[in-house]
Amino acid sequence: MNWTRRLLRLATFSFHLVAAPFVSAQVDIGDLTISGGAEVGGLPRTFTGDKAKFEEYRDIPESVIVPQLQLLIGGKKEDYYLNFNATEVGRSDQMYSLRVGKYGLVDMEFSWDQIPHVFSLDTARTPYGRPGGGGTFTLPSKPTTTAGTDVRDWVNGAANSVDLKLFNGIGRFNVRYTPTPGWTFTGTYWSNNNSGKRAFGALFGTSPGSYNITELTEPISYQTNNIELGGEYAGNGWTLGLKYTGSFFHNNISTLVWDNPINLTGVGSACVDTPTYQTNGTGGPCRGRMDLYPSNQAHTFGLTGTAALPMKTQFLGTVSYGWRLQDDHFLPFTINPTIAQPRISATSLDGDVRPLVVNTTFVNRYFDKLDLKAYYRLYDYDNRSKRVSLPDGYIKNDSNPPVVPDLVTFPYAYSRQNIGMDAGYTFAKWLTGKFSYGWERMHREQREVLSSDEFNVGPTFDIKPSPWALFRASYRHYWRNAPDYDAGRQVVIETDETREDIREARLEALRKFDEAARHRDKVSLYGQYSVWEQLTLNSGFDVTSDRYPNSEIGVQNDFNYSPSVGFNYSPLEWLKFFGNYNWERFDWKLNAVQRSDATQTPQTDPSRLWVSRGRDQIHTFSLGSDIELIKNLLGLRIQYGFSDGRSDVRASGSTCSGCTQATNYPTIKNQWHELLTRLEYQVHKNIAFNVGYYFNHATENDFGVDIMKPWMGDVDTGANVQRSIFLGDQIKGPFTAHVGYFTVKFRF
Amino acid sequence: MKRFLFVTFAGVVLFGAAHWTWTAEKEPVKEPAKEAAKETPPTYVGTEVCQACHAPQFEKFSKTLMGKIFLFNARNETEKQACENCHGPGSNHVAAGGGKGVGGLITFRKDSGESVALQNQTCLTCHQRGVQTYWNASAHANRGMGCVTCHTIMEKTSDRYQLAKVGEHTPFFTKRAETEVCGQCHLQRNAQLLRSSHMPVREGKMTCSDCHNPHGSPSPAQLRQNTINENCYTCHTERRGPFLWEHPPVLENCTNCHEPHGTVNDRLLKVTDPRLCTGCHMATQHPSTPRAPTSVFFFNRSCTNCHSQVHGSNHPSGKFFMR
Repeated sequence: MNWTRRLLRLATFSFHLVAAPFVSAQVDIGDLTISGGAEVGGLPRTFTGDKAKFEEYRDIPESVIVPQLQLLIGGKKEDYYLNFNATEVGRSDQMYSLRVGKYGLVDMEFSWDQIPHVFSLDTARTPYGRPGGGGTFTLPSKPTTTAGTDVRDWVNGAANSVDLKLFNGIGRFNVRYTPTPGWTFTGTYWSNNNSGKRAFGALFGTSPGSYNITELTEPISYQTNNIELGGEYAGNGWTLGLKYTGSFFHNNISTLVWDNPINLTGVGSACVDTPTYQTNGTGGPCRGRMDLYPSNQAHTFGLTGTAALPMKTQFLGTVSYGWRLQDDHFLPFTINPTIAQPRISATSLDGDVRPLVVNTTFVNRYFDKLDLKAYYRLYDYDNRSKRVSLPDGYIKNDSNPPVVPDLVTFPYAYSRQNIGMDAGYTFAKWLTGKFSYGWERMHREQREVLSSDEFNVGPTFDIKPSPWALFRASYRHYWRNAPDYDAGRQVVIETDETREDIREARLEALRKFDEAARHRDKVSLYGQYSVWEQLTLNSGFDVTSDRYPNSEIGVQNDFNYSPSVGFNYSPLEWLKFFGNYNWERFDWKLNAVQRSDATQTPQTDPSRLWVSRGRDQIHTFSLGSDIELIKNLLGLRIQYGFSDGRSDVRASGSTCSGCTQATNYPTIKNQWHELLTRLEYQVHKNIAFNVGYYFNHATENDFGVDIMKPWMGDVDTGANVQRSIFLGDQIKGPFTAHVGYFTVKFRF
Repeated sequence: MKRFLFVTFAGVVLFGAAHWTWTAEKEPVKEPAKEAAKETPPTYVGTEVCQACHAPQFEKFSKTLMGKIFLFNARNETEKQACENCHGPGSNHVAAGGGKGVGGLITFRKDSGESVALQNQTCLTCHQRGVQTYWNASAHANRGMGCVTCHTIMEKTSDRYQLAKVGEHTPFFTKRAETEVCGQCHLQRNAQLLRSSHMPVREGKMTCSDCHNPHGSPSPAQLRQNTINENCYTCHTERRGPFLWEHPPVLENCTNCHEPHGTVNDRLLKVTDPRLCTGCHMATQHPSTPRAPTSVFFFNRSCTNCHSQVHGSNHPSGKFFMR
């Protein structure tokens, strides 16, 4: 269809809108008033490049569009109402909402929202088919041999194009009923249907050793139903509320089965399994089987209350108790029929987690200028799932023999307690200071650190010299200890290994950053100043610095700082400018040791040490203007947004003989430009034309992704990769879009 | 660039200080409560009296949700007071002939001299419940923010929640009013929404208030749910588990690996793979070995080329998250 015909159709439609019987501001029918509007138009465009990123979460078609529909019906007595809104009608990101109710009594809302998520279009390819749908992937053919060139030729010939994207459809119903100003009852039901495909890696064989990767398109078919019911009463100086939340997740495809492309004994049911993994095509597992996310459910009851106490004190408290349940039957250890299934002590996890939250807060304002707050919080992740024993170990990637005998799982649990105190004092009308203290105890049932404490202290100042100026400055210092850090303590119990064996295997000198002793400093500055009524300036500066003083190996430090400035300026009634600029930088440093043997440590083999440093820098800028060219008749909006991000990783060291040298990575870069200009012409008080231009340009360079294709044996020439196949979805292609924008808005 | 930014920031501070010095003694601040106490105790005059002088404001207010309840659907005597329910009894204001700052009313203006606590208390009389239950203990209240910093009461600006900013919808992006309001102060987070790897906030499918309760909550960072993870599980329910084989740092805190506001790295990761994993895993062989960019341990999805079940596995053979 050419553009002349499209424009004619649009003009005809617009004419009918203009000639429609509705006139004036709103329509009165009996006891009802009706108003609303519609917008319809078109988006002619030229586009080059990768559409996936352009339409990552949106649908911008080159066709007639209906960006908005609205209908508002109200009782003339301003008692009842019905509001209907729709955006992006008929497109994959469409949204509909219908609200009905009576003011002050009841409000009900029905909504349907669609969120597309596009990963890649027209770049991924796979030789697998899914003949019955579901989670079974079959190969109608296989390579002639397992030599790299044969695998390459086979996959290039057999692979078909596949798009990787998800679709999220969310239906929701809310009701809020307030029979009296004190009582409120709420109910929500929402259903989330998530479907599509995304990339998913799978392996045959073992690493280190011999293996082949087969990257699949994971089928996603999730259904989640959520319900929330609550009731609350607000009395004079107190409130009490009870809420129940239920969430039911069901995975319609929870098992993935896929053919092994390098077992060349046959295709489909003709394939012959052998227990041991083979790289020469003569055997090994014919298939692999993966357990995708199991269905689960969660139930939570929460009780929240507040009370006004003597001496201008307020109590706020919450108790919440939940159940998280998961009881999917375990799959067998392996789909390989030639391997005897090892023993396991249970047929399912009988997963049962009971999260408990207790929060008590006191706020006091007895003295006019003194604000006090104290709180205690407990979060307890009580894991009552079964301990499962695997006396024979498990089967690694569907090949014999079983490994790691005498395993016992441990239902991992932890709790976190927080105590905090704030004291704020108004020194003068223009100056308020606050001092804060906080403590957090993290207790873990297993892992390297069982109990750690983190303290924080710091002041905050608010300086308000006039109603039009505000400056905020805060500083907080945190320090966390990690007593008795023991790399030999593990979550999964390998009973045939001693703690010393495990320390050695995992490297005793390593400190995991989320458990390690840490010093943190946070500084935050913020300023807002309305120079004149027409001009407002904002500025901010945030710094977070983390140091890990006891981590000989592991993350050493990370440092993040981010200055920002912004303004809003309206020099004239019809003219407005706005802009923002932000720069963010994130630096980190990691010490590591290259190890081929457990005896290699920083002390025994210092030449194996290597250091890695990362730096992310991002500039973000936006600028715009609203101009009323002719009052109430013609308006112009121009706005431009820009983001430039870079991620660098530099590495050095590991100079030992025969070792892989630590090298730098190519810089990851991404840039985003977006310009919108729009002219709105109010041709009639009910009708407006919008004409505009939208420019969007993005570039992304990520060496690790840009080079992808189904066979990567020429990039990594190792034997394992020669046998491997990937989807080759290059998810970061650049694009440039020039989009014309023409719509007619009709209001009544 | 650093020097430019420092100079700009310093300039703003210095300009502010100069302006403060210039204005410091020029505007004696009225204490409306004290002023009112000197006069006759005020009484309620009724909305018709307010409307007589403040007709345009009245007309705009009547279109708001609060206006429709107070003016047309009042449920008790307090709500029937309408204007005076919030601004206070108006008899002294009327008797004095009206005017800005006259009669001891609570005006909610920036230059009124009223304390933020006084203004907020007016709103909290009705609104300290539901999502506003924890307001007095919230970070925003602690920083002296007023309800009227984010909300406009007297006219309908945003589609919902009476927010001070108007959202904007185009076929290309949608700026929700909530995101615009939060972005006024949270400049870094506002900028992060434009990162390459992001959640659909700038497309209008999510807002800040989908995860955070700006009115306060008993949870860290004013999250709506009890923990960071429970917040994420609201949408990503498949990762809730529990699993036979857990990955403990994942179970404790999703933000150990992810930055939910936006990053330049894929999948909202804070640090590029494989470095993210190497930070905790230094076992022999491949976790501890530095990898070239041409290595399968780096390209594509790096460690998750094989360890795809990194959030947890329920397969008996899934100890290393490969099944």
